[in-house]
Amino acid sequence: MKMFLTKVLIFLFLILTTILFLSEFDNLDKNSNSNSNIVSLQRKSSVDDLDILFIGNSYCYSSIQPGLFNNIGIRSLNLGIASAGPYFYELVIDDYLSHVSKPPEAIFILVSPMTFSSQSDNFVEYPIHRYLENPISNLVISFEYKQFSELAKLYQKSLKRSVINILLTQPVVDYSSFLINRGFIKNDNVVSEEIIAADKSFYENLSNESIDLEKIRKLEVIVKNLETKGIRVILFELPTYLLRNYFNEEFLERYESVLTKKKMNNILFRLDETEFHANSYRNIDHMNTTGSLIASKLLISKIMGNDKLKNLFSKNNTD
Amino acid sequence: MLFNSVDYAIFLPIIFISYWIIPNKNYVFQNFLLLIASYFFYSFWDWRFLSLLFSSTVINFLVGQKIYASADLKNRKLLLWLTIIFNLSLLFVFKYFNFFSLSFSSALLKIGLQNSPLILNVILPVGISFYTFHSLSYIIDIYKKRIEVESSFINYAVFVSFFPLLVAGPIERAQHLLPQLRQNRIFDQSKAVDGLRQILWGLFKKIVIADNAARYANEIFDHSSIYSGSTLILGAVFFAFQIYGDFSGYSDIASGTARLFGIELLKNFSFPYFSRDIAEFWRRWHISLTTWFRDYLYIPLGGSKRGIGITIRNIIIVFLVSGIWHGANWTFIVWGLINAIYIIPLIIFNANRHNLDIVSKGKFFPSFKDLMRMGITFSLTVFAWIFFRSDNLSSALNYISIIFSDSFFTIPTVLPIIYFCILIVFILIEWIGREEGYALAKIQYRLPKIVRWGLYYTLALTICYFADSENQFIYFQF
Repeated sequence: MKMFLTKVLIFLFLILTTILFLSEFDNLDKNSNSNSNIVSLQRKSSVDDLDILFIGNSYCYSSIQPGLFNNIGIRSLNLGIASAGPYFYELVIDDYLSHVSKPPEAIFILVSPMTFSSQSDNFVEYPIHRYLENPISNLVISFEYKQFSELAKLYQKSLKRSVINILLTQPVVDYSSFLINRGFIKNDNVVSEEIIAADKSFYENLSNESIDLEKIRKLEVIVKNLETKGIRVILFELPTYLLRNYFNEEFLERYESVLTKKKMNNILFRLDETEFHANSYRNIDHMNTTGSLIASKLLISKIMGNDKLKNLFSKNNTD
Repeated sequence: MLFNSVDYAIFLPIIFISYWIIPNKNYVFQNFLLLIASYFFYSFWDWRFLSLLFSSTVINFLVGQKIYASADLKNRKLLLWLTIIFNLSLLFVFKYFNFFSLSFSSALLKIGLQNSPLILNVILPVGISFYTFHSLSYIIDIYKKRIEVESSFINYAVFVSFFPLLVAGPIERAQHLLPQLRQNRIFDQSKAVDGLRQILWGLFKKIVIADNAARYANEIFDHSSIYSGSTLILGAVFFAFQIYGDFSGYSDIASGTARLFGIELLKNFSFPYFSRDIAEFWRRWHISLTTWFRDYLYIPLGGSKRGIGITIRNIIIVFLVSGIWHGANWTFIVWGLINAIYIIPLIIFNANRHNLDIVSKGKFFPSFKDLMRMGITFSLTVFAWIFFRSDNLSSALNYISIIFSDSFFTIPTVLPIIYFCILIVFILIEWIGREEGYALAKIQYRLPKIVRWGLYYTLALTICYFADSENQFIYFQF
């Protein structure tokens, strides 16, 4: 029995060591992968000395056009990352701040029902921690963010990526569109019944969601830490086409109470939904380019309508 | 809890170590632990169905005692039929009621009688077809006096619910499993190593062969109208490998796991795609179910001893029942019927027992004749799988009509080269090991230790590479 267990343990040790070793090569493709998340993470620190850094999920990179802010002298960057919630926010902000010479004047953090649901911060589907300028191991992530149940999947995904990276060389990606659009991703599709029918199975699971208190706490910690560093934090919420219909009432009530609490401590910009129409969206919850134009303009007017922010950015521009 | 899940990878070592540290290897404690583990394993799906499993076990155990104790033939017969009705009623309510209700309703509609079918809002308890068949065979064997009654409830409960075979077989027999449960199991390293080797091979079949084949088969079957006939043929071939890898992989993991606990399960697969005719295929595919139907349905109906007409009738009944056992859908019934049609000519010409040995035994290359016969048998099987895989009969017929259209002779548009390479290696390993219980068993005699470890290491890494998601085993739905 002892001999048998020893042999099994040696075998498992060999396999685990190989997986741990091989999975270190999962981010070899960081300069050749055309995935928008990876491009954003790779290029983020090259955009330094900002007035506003936008942080959020795919709603953020689909809705906010930094170019429009730049036109009025507000230097901004959209660092929206697919599936991002408070855990991703923390990783991305920390990585950005540790690699720029000057922190941004303000960080705009997106909040949405998705932010506090289990659907956000999907480390398995979007292993952004491996593509940061200082990559973080799967093991550390699983401890830091209590992702123990996903540890095997995280390593499986890394192993697969590593093998592909080792066997295949991919062409270096062209970053020019990122630099031009500063993280905004254009999409001209317009939502239709067919698109809704094709996508709705994913959203139907949201009816069973309960709000994730851990993520709320994490967001509070992020805000507090940024304010300690002298960075102003503004929360903002973007309209989504049909997303709220999929969440249960209890979830939405709790979400509203979270926002009310946040509003008392921070500036919270909620864009007026009535300004948007069906042709402003590309699917159940994302805006298209038309919608992003409206959203960006509405946000600019909210900023200009807030004296503190207006003064902050105009002061910088005068400087 | 799936065999290919992290949960199982944690569960199995805990039970394994606990089982072997039991003092004196006392079988009472060993069985008790296996029972607790099996119920825990089952409760991972839905704990509410534990009560169904438990009540079915208690009732069959008690009736078994009564039948055994009774000297009155009439009384024994009555108890036997009551138990059969009880067990089949469970299956009927959970598995077939809605199917028959809907079919009856649509038949009434066809003759102009408006009605609304009665539908039961129940989900199918995992493994019900398997543990019901365990219980039935036990009761029938006691009635026929083939076995002694089991006096220990725990032994009997383990026989019904032993976790490796609980949800998808092999369908065990009392005379095979119960005697093993009545003795202390002593740890045997060579058996345990063999068990792990079989688990490794089973995982490879499931995760690498079946789950990858499923990706292509699902794509082609779900969008059959947009693909050419040649691609649809390939889709059916992918499904043939999916279902083989899936189910025989499951059976390998089940047998390997049982062997870790010093228990041998019945063999469920014996390289069926190397069969030279359909009769041989059915002696090699899902063996525990085929032999169950042979012993408890075909032979009681008269088998082959009452003339060719009755034999053909019995064959058709067995295959139709086998079809509907797989699921409440006309596609399974037609699949069974097609297999009956395949096998009837062999029965008529008394050729159904021509290929009892292993193909090309002792040789590496098969003869041209054997190769052709294996090819034809495989093609016939693949054709029948189209019905098995399709959602309904019209989809299956549509699929077949596209196959035999002008696009039959075009080049398939789905050609996964890497998967084909893996499949060739897999078929080669299966071919080399076809004289053993499972393909990988062969290497323990042939290869030096370092090469063996190298092979296990490569297989394990390949499994990890492809283990994207924990896909359910197909036979769990039956």
